[in-house]
Amino acid sequence: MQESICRSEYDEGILILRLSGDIDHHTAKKMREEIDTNLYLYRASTVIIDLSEIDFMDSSGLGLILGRHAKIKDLGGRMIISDPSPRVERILNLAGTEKIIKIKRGKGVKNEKIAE
Amino acid sequence: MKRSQNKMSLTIPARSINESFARYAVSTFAAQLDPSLEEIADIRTVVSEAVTNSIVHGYMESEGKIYISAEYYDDRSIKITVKDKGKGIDDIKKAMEPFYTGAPGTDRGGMGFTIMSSFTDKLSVRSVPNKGTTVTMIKKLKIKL
Repeated sequence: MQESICRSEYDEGILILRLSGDIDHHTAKKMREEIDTNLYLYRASTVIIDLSEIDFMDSSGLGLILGRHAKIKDLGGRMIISDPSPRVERILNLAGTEKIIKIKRGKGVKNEKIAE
Repeated sequence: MKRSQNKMSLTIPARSINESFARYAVSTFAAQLDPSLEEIADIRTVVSEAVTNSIVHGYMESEGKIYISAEYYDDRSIKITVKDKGKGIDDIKKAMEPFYTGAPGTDRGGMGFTIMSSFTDKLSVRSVPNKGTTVTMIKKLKIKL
């Protein structure tokens, strides 16, 4: 088990939030606060949530992701999920997340703006 | 008839910091059956869901105890029980519907029971209002060749 953290990078309208550790009900609260602080600070047009370093996620993580998606939309931006592990993706897919949020894999994620 | 091979029990205070402890304790016990990584992850996830439900909905994030037990059998099935003495569930059928949440406005996805049901072979929920809830899950692990 690992303490959950959120690291941010911002460049030309794109905010990348790299989450790591476990996302459960206990850690989701702090993670949500950290994500929201960054969302209000940058008000980015594109927010990439990088899940490649998430070791464990349950429905609390799912709620966190869907809640952030709604918030980013309210702020006029769009959200992309990057590189979830097959395990995390299985949880996301149970709620049909892939139908409402773009999930990208590999190095192409950082080139989102160019691809537009 | 299947025979019990080993069992464990654990009582923890209903505090969110214990969610990870509970799921790792039960998955470590289940590891005695040499399950696949996927099966271990399933067990970890369903225990986390059941314990979180007790904390958030059973005790509404106040004081209480959660009683966890696990038992495995010679047919490689494992039974996991998570019990609380919290406020109970009024309408179990509704609570088990995908996206239904008893805690609206809190970023709870309402997917806990869906995950428990998807990742195990049998899920049963017994609940009495103001007495508590018992969630029992059975997972059959694949036979090792």
